[in-house]
Amino acid sequence: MQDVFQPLINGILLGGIYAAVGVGLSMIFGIVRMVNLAHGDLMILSSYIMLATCGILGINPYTSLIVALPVMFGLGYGIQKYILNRVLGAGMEPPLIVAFGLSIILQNTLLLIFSPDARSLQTSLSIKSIDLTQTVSIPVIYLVGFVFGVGTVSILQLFFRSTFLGRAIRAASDDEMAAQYMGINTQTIFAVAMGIAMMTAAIAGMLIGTTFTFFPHTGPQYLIIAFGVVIIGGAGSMIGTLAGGLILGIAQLMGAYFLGSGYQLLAGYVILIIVLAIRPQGLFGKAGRAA
Amino acid sequence: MAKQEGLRNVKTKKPWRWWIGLLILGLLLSIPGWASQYTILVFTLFGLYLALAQMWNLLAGYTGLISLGQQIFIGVGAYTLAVMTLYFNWPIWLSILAGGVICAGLALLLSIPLFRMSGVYFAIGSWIVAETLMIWFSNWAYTKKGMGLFIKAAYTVSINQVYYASITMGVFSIALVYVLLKTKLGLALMAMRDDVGAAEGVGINSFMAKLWCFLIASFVTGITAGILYLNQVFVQPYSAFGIEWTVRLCFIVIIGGIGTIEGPIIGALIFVLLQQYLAEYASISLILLGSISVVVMLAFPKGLVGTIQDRLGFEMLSPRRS
Amino acid sequence: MPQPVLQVCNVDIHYGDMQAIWDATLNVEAGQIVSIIGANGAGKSTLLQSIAGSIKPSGGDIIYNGERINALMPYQTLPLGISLVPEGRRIFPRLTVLENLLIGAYAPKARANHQRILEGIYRLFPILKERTHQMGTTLSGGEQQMLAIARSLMSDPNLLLFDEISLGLAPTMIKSIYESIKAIKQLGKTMLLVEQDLQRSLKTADYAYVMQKGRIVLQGNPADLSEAEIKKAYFGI
Repeated sequence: MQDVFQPLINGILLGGIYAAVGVGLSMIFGIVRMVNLAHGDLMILSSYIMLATCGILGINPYTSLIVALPVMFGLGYGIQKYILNRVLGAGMEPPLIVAFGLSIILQNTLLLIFSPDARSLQTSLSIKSIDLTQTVSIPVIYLVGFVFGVGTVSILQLFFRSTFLGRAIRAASDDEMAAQYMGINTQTIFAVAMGIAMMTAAIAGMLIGTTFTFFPHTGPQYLIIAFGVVIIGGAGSMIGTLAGGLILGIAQLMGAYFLGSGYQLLAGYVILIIVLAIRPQGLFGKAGRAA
Repeated sequence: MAKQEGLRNVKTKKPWRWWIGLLILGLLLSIPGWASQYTILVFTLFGLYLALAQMWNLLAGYTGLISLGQQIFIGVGAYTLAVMTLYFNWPIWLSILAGGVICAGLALLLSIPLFRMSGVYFAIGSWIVAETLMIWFSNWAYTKKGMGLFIKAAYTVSINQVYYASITMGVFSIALVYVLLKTKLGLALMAMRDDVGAAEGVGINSFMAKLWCFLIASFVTGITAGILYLNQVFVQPYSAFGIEWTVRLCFIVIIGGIGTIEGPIIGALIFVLLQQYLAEYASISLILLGSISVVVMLAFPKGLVGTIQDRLGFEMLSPRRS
Repeated sequence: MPQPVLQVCNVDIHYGDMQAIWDATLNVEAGQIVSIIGANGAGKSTLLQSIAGSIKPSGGDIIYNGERINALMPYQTLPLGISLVPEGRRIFPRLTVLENLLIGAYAPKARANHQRILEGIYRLFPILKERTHQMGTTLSGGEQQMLAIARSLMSDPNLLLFDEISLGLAPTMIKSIYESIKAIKQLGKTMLLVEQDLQRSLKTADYAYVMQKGRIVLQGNPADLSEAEIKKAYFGI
C-alpha cells in the first residue's frame, strides 16, 4: 500500500497544474457568465506560440513567457472587445456558438500550420526528480507546475481583492450598469479581464507543454479539465479553483492507479458528471448561480 | 408585422404552400430514376443531415437544450446497427429501429444527471458524456476497440434503398417537428422558449416537456445514424462519437436559422453542397464551417431563414396557430 | 450671472417608437437643490438617466458647465463630475461596504484622494464605518441607501443626481437621509432630486419642477407654489 503515495503526490502536484488550467475559465465564467469553449484551444495555441518562440530565439520555455504573456493578453483583449462583447446578452446560444466556432477554427488552423505530430516544450527539468524515500520521488517538472499553479491563483486572488482594477472587474460583473455609473468603461474592463484570463492560459499552456505532449486537437481535453476544476471548485472562487484542481488531479491519478492508465481521463469525467448532477455550483460556489 | 398577422388570422388556407412542397417531394422521389449515382449520394446525405439537424434544432432552438453531445446517439445508433447485424444476425431495418430504441433508453438514463444541469452546464455535460463513450468504446474488446466494426450487411442494401430511407427520414423529421409544435407540447415549448419561469407559473411542466423532446430527438437521431452508417459502412469510435458531428449540425442550424423549421432545410442543402466542394480539404472545410458560423452568429444571428422571415414577414411552415 | 451648472433644453426622449418625454426644459444653478416631482411613470427617472448618459435624448440638448453632453455614456459623465445615485440603490452584491465605497472612487481624479474622501464619508455616515467589512447586501434598506449616496460622493462630484431615494424606506430613515442631503449641500455640491415623496422634497428644495405624463407642467420656488397648484400638476386633476 506504500505504492499509493507516489500517485497521491503526483495527483496533488498535478492538481496545481490543473488549477492553472482552470483559473482562466473560472474567471471568465464568474465575470461575464460565459463558458469560453475555446479556452483549451487558446491554451494549446499558447503552447505552440512558445514552441515557435523557443525554436526561433533559442530560449527556454520559461523565458518565452515574456513573449507569450503579452501576445495572449492582446489576443484575449481583442477577442473580447471585437467579438464576444457583441454577443454577450444576446441570449445563451450566440456566445456558446461563437466560442465553439473559434475553438474549431483554432484547432484546424494549428493543424494546418504545425501538422498533427505530438510536440513538447523542451526543458532540462523534465527528467529531474527529487527522491523523498526509496519508493517515492517528486518529479521536478510537476513541482514547478504546482508552484506556478498555486502562484498564479494566489496572485489573481490578490489582484481581485486589493486593486482598483480588480474591484472594477468584480463590480462590472455584478451589475454592469451600476459599474458604468461609477465611471467604469465596462466593455473595456471585460476585455481586460479576458486578456488576464488569456495570460493564465499562456502560463497553463507552458505548464502543459513542458509536462506533457500536445498536438492541435489537445485543446478540448484541457477544456474538460478546466471545466472540471470550475465545476468541482465553484466558478469565480480562487480557493475553489485550487480545491477543484487538487481533487481532480488526485481523482485522476488514483483512478489510474486502481483501474489502469487507460482509465485516468475516465475517472476524471465520472467525478465531474457526479458533481454536476449533485452539486452543480461546486464546493465553493454560491447556490443558484448555475448558468 | 401585427397588421400582416391580423390579415392572416382570417382562416384562409394557403394551398399553394402545399403544392410547392409536394412538387419538391415528387422531384426528390424521382431522382433515382434519372440522376447519377453521385447526385443520389449527395441527396442521401442531404436527407440524413436534414433529419439530424431538425432534431438538434428541436433541442436547441425550441427546447433551449443546447446539446454538444448529439454524437452520443449517432455513435450508439451506428454501433447498434453494427452489433445487431454482425453478432446477432438481425435484419438491417430491425437493427436500425433497435438503434433508435436503445438511444431513447440511453437518453432516459442520461436525463437523470444531465437534466439537473441547465444551459451551459448541460451543453458541456452532454459533450463529456460523448467523450466518455468514445473512450469506453475505444477500450471495449467486444466492439473491437479502436479498430471499429465493419458493417458487412450494408452491402445487401442498394443505393436507392438507402436514398429512399434517408428522404423518408428527412421528410418525417420536418413533419414530426411541425406536428409536435402544433400540439400542447409545442405550445409549452414556445412558452418555455420565451420565459421558463412564466411558463412554469401557468402550470407547464418544463421538465416533462424537455424530457419528451430529448427522447424524441435521440430516437430519431439513433435511427438516422443507422441509415447513415449503411452508407458509411465502417463504424469507429473516434469518428462516430466525435465532436465534428455537432460542429456540422450546429453549422447547418445556425446558417439556416435556429428556431425555424425551414432553417435546417436550407442549412442542410448548403452544407452538403459545401462538403462536396471541400471534400479534399478536411481542415479547411472545418475552418470554413467554424468561421461562417461565427460570422453568421455575429451579423445574422437568426440565420438565412430567420432574417428573411423578419424582413418579409413570411413563414412557410409556420407552427403558429391561426 | 454665472451660467447654470446644468441646462436641459427642449429635450425629447423616445423608447423605440414610444415618446416618453416631451420638450423638457430645466435649469440647475450651482449649489442648488432642485427637485423633480411627479407620480409614478411621469418620466422623472428617464430624464435623470438621460442626464447621466444611460438613456439618449432623441431631441434637444443637455448642457453641463457649458458643454453639450447628449452623446456621453455614464462612464464618461462621471469623470466630468456628474454622479447618479441609481433607483433601487444597486449596491454591488459581491462587494463589501468598503469595496463599494472604494469603487465609487474609481475615476482617476477621485482615486488619488480616496483616503481623505473616505474619512469624510465615515464622518457623514458613521454607520457605514461600523459595517465596513460586511457584504453590501446585508445592510438594511436605509443603510443601503446611505451606502449608495456615499458611494456616489466618493467620486467627489459637482452634480449629484438622486433617483427616488426615499422609495421603500421608513419615515425616520427618510428623515435621516434628508439630513445628510442638507449636510451635502454644505459641502457645496449641486443636487437634482427625483422624488415621489412630495413633502420632504419640497421642504428641502430650492426650486421644484413638477412632471406629469412626460411633460413639465409646473415649476417654481416651493415657497411660492400653493398646495392646490402642486396637487393639480402632480395628479392632473
